[in-house]
Amino acid sequence: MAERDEEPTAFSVVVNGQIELAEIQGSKSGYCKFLVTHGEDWQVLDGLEEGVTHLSKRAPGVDTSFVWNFPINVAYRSTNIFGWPQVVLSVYDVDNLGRDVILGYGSAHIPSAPGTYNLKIRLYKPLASSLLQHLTSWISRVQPEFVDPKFPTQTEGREVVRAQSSGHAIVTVNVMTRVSGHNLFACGVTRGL
Amino acid sequence: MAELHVLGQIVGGSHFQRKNIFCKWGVETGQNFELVEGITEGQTQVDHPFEDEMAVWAQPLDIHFACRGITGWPKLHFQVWSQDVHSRNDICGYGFCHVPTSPGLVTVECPCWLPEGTELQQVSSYFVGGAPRLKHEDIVYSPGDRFRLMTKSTGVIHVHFQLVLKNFEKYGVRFSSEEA
Repeated sequence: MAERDEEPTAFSVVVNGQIELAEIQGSKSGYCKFLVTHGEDWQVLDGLEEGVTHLSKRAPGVDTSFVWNFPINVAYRSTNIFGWPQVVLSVYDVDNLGRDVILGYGSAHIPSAPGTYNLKIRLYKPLASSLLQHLTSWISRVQPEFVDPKFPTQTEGREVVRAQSSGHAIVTVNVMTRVSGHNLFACGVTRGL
Repeated sequence: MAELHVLGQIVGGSHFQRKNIFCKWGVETGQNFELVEGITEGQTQVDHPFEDEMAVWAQPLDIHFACRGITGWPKLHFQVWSQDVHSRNDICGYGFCHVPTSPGLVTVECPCWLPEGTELQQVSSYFVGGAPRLKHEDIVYSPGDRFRLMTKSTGVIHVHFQLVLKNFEKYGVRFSSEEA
């Protein structure tokens, strides 16, 4: 460690995982759009940051989950931990008129230490902010949605949201990290090399 | 300089008496910690949980500190408020937790409490709302004298932390008993 820390240390993070399933009370089917967001100093080396799963119907019986088993493979390179990638799930259903109906949003940071994780991501959907909008959404059967699908990853602006939570999704992730140069991070970024 | 990254999420609150709750949160540090990037205070969404589940706030945290020393480690403090059908807010609990010092993923459960007023205040808050509040909110996270305060326990806040520590090893700071 002779060098001073002016030189930023580059590291890469490889995420392999799958969106396993979701359980939402009162819903019979659903599909999931996922996004992985990252900060300014991050760049994608390989893989896709977004995707859409198939529409899955839940099986008859006591099991209330709908299974997607959809792969996520993305690799990043960065010099700054700030802006660590977050995964955002938006779960939709298709109604009788073929319209998309939101069932829930959820988000979580990709784990920062290498290893295998089972993330339980709780889902919530926004509620209409005024009585009039509530009424129009009831008449037209259109649910309120976030304009920006990345909104769940933002820290600011949350205080104006009224939400209803229901259900959760299970995401399995395997995280590998690689630090080129020095062993400067304790977290996991260095462990497991 | 050593650097500390606090990542994670304020997941939600459970076991609070009222259902439609939100959380005002903030980060308090000693003088050795200097904020580089990130947002250190905010307010979460109001959640109306379906049935008797936990209220989900899903408030992401991503804060970057530069540290000159290791005293005054960051703390997260919370105020839980409930909102009724007329959008009136009422306090539901105070609490704080330290940001953990072990790198990696840590789940923290922060139990909350609320000042209990006199019997007359309790009766009036039952009928018209407006539970007694703290005048000096810094006593929630400062180690001063709290002896005269009568409180009741309310609910639990669930927080997921992911810590990344940079350059601490260079200064001989150790965060676990494992050999480096």
